[in-house]
Amino acid sequence: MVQGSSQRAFGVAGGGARALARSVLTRIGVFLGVSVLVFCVIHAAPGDPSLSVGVDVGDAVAVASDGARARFRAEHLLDASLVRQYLHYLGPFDLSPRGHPWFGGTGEDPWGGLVCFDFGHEFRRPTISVSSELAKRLAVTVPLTAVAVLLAYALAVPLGVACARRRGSAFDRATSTLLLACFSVPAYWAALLLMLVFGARGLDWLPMLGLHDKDAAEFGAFASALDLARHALLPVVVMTYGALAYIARQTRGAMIEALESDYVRAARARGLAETRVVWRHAFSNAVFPLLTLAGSLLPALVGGSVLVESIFELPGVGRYAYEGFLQRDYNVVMATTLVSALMTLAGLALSDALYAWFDPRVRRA
Amino acid sequence: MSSREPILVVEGLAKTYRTAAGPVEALRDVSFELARGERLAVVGESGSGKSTLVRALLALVRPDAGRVRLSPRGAGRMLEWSSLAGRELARARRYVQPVFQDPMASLNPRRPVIAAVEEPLVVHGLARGDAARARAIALCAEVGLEPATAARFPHELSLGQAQRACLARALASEPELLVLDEPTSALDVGLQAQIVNLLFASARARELALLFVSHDLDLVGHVAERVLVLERGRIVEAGAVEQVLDAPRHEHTRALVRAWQL
Repeated sequence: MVQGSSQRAFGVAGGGARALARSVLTRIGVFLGVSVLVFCVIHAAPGDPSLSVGVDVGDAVAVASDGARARFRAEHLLDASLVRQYLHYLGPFDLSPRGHPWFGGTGEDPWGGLVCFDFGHEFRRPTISVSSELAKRLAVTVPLTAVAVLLAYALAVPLGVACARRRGSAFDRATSTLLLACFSVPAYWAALLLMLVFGARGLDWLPMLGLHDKDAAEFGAFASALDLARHALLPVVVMTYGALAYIARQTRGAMIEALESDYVRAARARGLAETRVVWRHAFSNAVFPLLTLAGSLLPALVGGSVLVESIFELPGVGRYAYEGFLQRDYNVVMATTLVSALMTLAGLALSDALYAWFDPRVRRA
Repeated sequence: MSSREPILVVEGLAKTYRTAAGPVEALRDVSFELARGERLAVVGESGSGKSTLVRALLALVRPDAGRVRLSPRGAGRMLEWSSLAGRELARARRYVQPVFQDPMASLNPRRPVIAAVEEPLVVHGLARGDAARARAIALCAEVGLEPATAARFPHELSLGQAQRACLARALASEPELLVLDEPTSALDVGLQAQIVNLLFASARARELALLFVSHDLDLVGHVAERVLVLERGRIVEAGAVEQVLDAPRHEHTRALVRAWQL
């Protein structure tokens, strides 16, 4: 038996590198699949990106001439076949008129595309590269999402544990009902309600739109931090409460299961302090499902950011995606979708890694 | 039996659960004594109140009526076991230790076996640090687990090894009564005999009282000195093992014995 289990451990450890390679390759495949799918969908959608082409005149955009539109279409291969367009997007060869000479280009810009980490330029503002704009937008969305996730876990886990320990009590029932209600309320509805209550039309306690006051540039460090916090408060609340309710319910369920296990019963019978029983023995086992949850929560929050950022007019990735869709800016749509696909895959990889780290059955295997 | 001093005195124990289908009387007026070093079996069908009795004896559920008194040598006096609470209860728990049916389920999957054996030593202040580790290794050796095996996680052990680990863990706090809930029913016959022999050896060496719950009358006949028969929460027959198994008086016991002989 001893020999058997060590053989088993060896067998799997030997396959570890291969398993890792396979999972990385699978994820790259999934990522490319997503890129093809999104590319086809966005091109199949009605609407013509060249209609939104214009000449920037200060704040206004003048409608472009037919000639300018034709040039735009040629430059972005909009009249080429879908396959050619996709290969142009994927890279590494630039297939546009100024692209690689092998494909009939002038050779000014031979390389480019996704595999060169090049998301192209915005259709509407050709001087702005999608990557640099995306970086700016991520700097808004990522901190907001991170705060929302951390806050959700920080509040939900103790709440779920408390409910599980007092299972069936008035506290448990009241909390569970409230959480279910929270979970059922759609985010856009909650966002609008919060804006009505706390915004200028209601109590007027909090700013409603954007991330900074219009005079923020003149504020000191403390005042501008406070200003940012006041602007971010409602969006963070809207992004948090649903996840909080969900995590708390999962925590409660996992804890109830752990608290009723024989090893917890045995731990109690051994005379351990209740806090040690609850945290060391029950919680350390209940934590697995919560970790897997983190992987699926992250993409959901990134997706939810489209809504929240649009409602609160925050300059984040979600809003960028929304604007891209409205203007049929293929490059923006592709980039934002692929970034969120990447985050989803990263989230899943993260939860796999955490799971392996925390569960000795996986770690040893 | 009466010549030996009692370790456990149970008087008029009752427990009723409120369920959606109405109240369920799990235990009704259960009284018995257990002497130091005695081996007592509690038999009964499922639903007879065996599990509730085990939990009450382990002070994991509080009885509605009646009391359980415990007289460990280590405490030097009679303890009102069923009404102890808080720190007093936690301290007294070292004298009564459980071994459950499913050894895999009763070991924390996230901790190596040696940590589980070591924990009671530390919690009850019996040893610390290296001394605790050494004692834990000695306990594991006593139940037949090598140090390399004891360093593993539960899922890396066989069922028999896991049950040995549970036994070592139960013995760590120097208990005077072991409460065993179907301790061998998850194991195959060969392993059952090994575990039972191990239990015997450990119990004799420590003058340890054993109370074990089982529906396996073979095991009962082999291990117990005395038997209690539970039916729907009530003791319907009690006596020496030969008398109860060979010449059962109560109808329910006769039915159990008939079913066993088939």
